[in-house]
Amino acid sequence: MANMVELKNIHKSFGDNHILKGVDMNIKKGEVVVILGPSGSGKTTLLRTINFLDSADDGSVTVHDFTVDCKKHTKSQVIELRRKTAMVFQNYNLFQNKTILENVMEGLVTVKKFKKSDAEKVSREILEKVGLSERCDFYPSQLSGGQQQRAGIARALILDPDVILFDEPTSALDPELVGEVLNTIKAVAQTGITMIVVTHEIAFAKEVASRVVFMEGGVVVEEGRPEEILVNPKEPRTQQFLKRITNPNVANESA
Amino acid sequence: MRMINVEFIMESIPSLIGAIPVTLLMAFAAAAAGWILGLAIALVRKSRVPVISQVCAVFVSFMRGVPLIILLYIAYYALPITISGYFASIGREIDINAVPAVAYAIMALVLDQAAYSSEIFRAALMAVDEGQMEACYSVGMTKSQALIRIVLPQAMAIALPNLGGLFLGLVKGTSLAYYVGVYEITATANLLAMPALNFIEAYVMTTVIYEIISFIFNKLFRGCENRLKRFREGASAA
Amino acid sequence: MGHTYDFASVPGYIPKIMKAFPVTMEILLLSLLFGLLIGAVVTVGSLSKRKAVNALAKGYISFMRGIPTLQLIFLLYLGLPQVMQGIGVDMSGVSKVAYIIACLSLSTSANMAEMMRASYLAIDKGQREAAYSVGMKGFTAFRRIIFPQAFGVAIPSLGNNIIMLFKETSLAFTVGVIDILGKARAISAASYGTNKLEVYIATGLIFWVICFILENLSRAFERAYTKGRKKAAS
Repeated sequence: MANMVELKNIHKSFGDNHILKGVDMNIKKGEVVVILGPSGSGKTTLLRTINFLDSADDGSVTVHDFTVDCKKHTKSQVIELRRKTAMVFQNYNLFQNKTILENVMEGLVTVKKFKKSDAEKVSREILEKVGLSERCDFYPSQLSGGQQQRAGIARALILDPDVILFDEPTSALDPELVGEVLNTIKAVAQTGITMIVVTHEIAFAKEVASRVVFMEGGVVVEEGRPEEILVNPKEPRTQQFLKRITNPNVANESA
Repeated sequence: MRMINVEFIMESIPSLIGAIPVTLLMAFAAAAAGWILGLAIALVRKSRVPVISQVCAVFVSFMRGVPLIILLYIAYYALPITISGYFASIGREIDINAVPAVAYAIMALVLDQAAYSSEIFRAALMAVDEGQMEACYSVGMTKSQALIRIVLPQAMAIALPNLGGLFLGLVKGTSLAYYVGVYEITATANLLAMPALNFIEAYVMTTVIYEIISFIFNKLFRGCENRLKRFREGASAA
Repeated sequence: MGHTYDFASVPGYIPKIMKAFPVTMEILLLSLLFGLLIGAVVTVGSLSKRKAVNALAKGYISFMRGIPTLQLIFLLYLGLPQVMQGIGVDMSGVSKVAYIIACLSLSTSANMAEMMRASYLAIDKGQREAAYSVGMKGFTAFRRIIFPQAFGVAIPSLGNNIIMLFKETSLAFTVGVIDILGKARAISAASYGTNKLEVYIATGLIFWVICFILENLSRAFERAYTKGRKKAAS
């Protein structure tokens, strides 16, 4: 198997708004790809086209040798693709009517058809790994944002997906809670699972990413190893973006 | 000077209590069937099934625009013709007079409840965060799994307070079945009061009965709400 | 049930029934007026800090929500005169329409009170504080700042309450008032009940159309009123 994830010529429009203009991407097994870019660059949309939460207008998505044509796909193809992926959402999106334990068990029971007792056992183990064993019987609304997001990560991990998609996992968090979630994601990255992370956390990208992709205007502008892209970017657009994000005052001066 | 007729009150109590099951039967039957129908209408309209969706919208608008008493009359006069006409068309005779009036009243109430509850369910379904559905998809659930396991339970919790209000209104509405010949609480009171004109005694008693029924169901619904919403405002419990 | 039913005759009944429309309107508007007045008093009571007043107002609302309007009509129309006679007051001079208006005013007043209370409470506390901070007095603050915002919040439920009240006017026939439904029953009785179904369908259509108009008026009014203002509820 060459690549775990292959995106070919992904196009996506919302109405007249052409968000993705032909994105190609190949991701190897075990790679941690961090996608950076200004808001509106299409990075979140790209992530959502991978599991067809937004279905692309053109192109194809391949995950673990299973290819779905974006132009013509069946419901069962989409479901199979989704079962090979998992997602961590910006707003956590934990199931509000289920406890933390039930949230993690849900996919195992309904999708993977585990026996309840087995599902509970492995779910408790994984919740312990993300430091939530004390919170198993709480409802999402009873937890802090950081705890909810760690539960969201556990819910994604337990499905043993081929790739986990992180959609700005720390953007909705209070600043003091960002650290605990980033640490959890780092720990996940060390297990060797394939990950695609959309984020604004440059320091995190530097530390964890095996590759950084910079997107703007619906295309990939530049990609490479984190030390290349983040320290010595070639493209002026990448340089500008990095300046702005690391020092907000620069943006005002240049504007 | 007219005295309170205590003897009448004592004599009437058993008959009035005997009429409570008729009132409750209408309310329960109408809520059970009507709300299932209402949920179906809400789902059809939410998923914008062509034609059926529009038909449902017109049905809901009609049911909500026409007073219940007129719906009861229409059901009472239209259904026997429709039903006997249907049986005649398949070549069978039925004795339409054997169908009790309460059956027509229940049918009218079912349709009424279907329309009103569908609006409640529709609003509740819309109030469930879009992200919940996406999270279901992200773990690989099908649409029906997502609806049954995640979205509907949350929508129910949101709908419950309004359903409680709707049910109390329904209990009150059953009093109109009196006009299509159903011997529920109000009709029984009238029948008892008529001979000696003991109206004030009869209606004070029925008022007490209705108030007690409302009180009990209000408490029951509140209890359910508190149980169901523990996941909704858990933040305060943490 | 020998007669066949003739849908084509339905439209013909509509103008005849509509002759009673002014009676229905009279009942609707007067009940609305009194219902709002009683509702306002009850709202003040339900917001009062004095426990007895508060309990009285809330008890009134809960009592009115528990009693079917038909019960209330029977209680007042048939029961009350008996009680009043007992203490030497003759109520035979009171018109049937007055009874209906009284009953519907009471019945809608509870809904109106709940609506007013909810709308009042929906206004951010800071609005009152801000009004005080620029030196307004209590009533001025209410009239110029709180009320206009609360009214905007209340419009949708006010529209709903008016529609519900309008539909309840159909109960006027129960004491023999010739409103829309009373007229329909009279027409049907004049032909010995043979055309009951057609007449009731015609009446239903009238109510439907008027409710439809009321609903759209309410929406248009809401849009016009909240245009340019930020809705306090959002």
